[in-house]
Amino acid sequence: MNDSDVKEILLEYIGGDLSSDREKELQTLLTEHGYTLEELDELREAYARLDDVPVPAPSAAMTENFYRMLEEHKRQATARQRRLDSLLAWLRNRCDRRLIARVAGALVLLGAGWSLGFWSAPDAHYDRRLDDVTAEIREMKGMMAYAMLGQSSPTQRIRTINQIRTCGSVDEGMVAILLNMLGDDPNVNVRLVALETLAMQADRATVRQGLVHSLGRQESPLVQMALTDVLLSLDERASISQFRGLLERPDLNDAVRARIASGLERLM
Amino acid sequence: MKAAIAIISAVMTLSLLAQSERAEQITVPLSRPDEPGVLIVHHHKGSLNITGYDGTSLVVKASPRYASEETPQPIDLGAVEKDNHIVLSVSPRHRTIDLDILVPRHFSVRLKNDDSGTIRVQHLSGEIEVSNLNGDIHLIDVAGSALLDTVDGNIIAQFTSLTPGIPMAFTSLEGNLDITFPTDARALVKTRADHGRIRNDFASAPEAETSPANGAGLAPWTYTRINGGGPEMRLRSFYGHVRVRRAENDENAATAVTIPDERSST
Repeated sequence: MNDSDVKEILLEYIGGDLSSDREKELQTLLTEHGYTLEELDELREAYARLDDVPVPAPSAAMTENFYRMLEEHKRQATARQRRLDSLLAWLRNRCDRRLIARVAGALVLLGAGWSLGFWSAPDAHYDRRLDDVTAEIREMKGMMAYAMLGQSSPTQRIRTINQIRTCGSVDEGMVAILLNMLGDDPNVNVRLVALETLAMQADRATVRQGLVHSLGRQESPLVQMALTDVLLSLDERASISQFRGLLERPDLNDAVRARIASGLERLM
Repeated sequence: MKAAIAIISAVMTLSLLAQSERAEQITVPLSRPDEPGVLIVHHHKGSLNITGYDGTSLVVKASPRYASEETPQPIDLGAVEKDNHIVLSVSPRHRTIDLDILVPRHFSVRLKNDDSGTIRVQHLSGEIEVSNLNGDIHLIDVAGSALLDTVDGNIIAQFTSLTPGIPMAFTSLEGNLDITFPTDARALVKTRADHGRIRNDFASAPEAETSPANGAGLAPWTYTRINGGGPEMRLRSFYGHVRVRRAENDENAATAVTIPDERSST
């Protein structure tokens, strides 16, 4: 069995569509190399458990940094929506099942490699190497999360956003996807979790522009309120015109209207 | 897999006033009766009452709440089933119609209601997704996971067990939250009541942490790790109170869970 055959059988296993014949083949393969199917399952479970790592609250330094960035941002113009859209289209094309499968396969291979190294060659530099591997796994988790956002269950989408937060490396592509979720996700709670994650990245110009732009498009009073709170806490003056636009809507929720009205006074 | 599509339509063309005022009922069989399924309902006006039972098909009953005008439009109750996914439709939209639905016990639900009613889900195991604009959400004796949101209503949810590793979220703008977790639940409970109070049976745990308040002086998130921690359970009410209960405190939790009107007591 060559390298690509091994990858293929592992992908089938991860995807859960391995026939019993193929599963026997995989077992034989693992046994030949001194592993068991249970060990592979343990690795998969270990990966799933990384979700449980709590997200640290933003530090005071982060908040200060944000305000500094905000000062620069206040002079800048509005969002470049067209570029965002094309980026999103590109990302959507990337988020297909094959990519998910490939990333999943890569994770398993990485995990298998890690275990092999751990079992066969323990040495004095183990802790440092473990840190490196942990960082690599976190990066892979980020990539995995990236590919999983197109899935249909809202629970899974929230789980994926939580993974993005814990993977520690949110790039501009993920920001674009999170902004898209904040704008378009059919579930209110998914939009709120996306907003919360974006607020933690508020030192990025694209995030602040995206949040301001999103305000006028929100229909749910819950998201309107949460977004208003975030923008007011950021002292985001670029949102003034959006707030005024919302106040003109006759169907605006009374509680949201009161919150915006008092917030606007403070902003101006 | 080739899916069988069953379309059940019970359009009642009723000419007599008396007939149009009665409740309508349809039964929706499943293509795979022994497997879990998903019920999807976007209701416009009225309550939704979903109850898990030992049967293998869905039984839907639609009752008009009020006696209507002289020549009422009859209730049109329809369902489309494909691969155990059922989409229910009820019209006319302007009438207040209360729905009582029996579903097999292992079933997921995605429910949305625009006006005039409580959404109640009981004795069920599955993924529960509920969005109620102007009404309460009650989950009684449920297992699995839930994502619930309401603007004006309260959320009361009592879980007998949770799907391990799955996050949940409960959000209300003006209502109270009252969530009962099983004693052995592993979770990171995140609570926030921007203008209300939080009471948490689990909060005596030394791991409880609080995030710093943000720049606008709003209430911060409070974190409580239950049984060593687990997936994030997010509870937020903007103008109401948040109550987190441990199931063992309520022997008959299914009936004992009530939300005291704490606003009037302060």
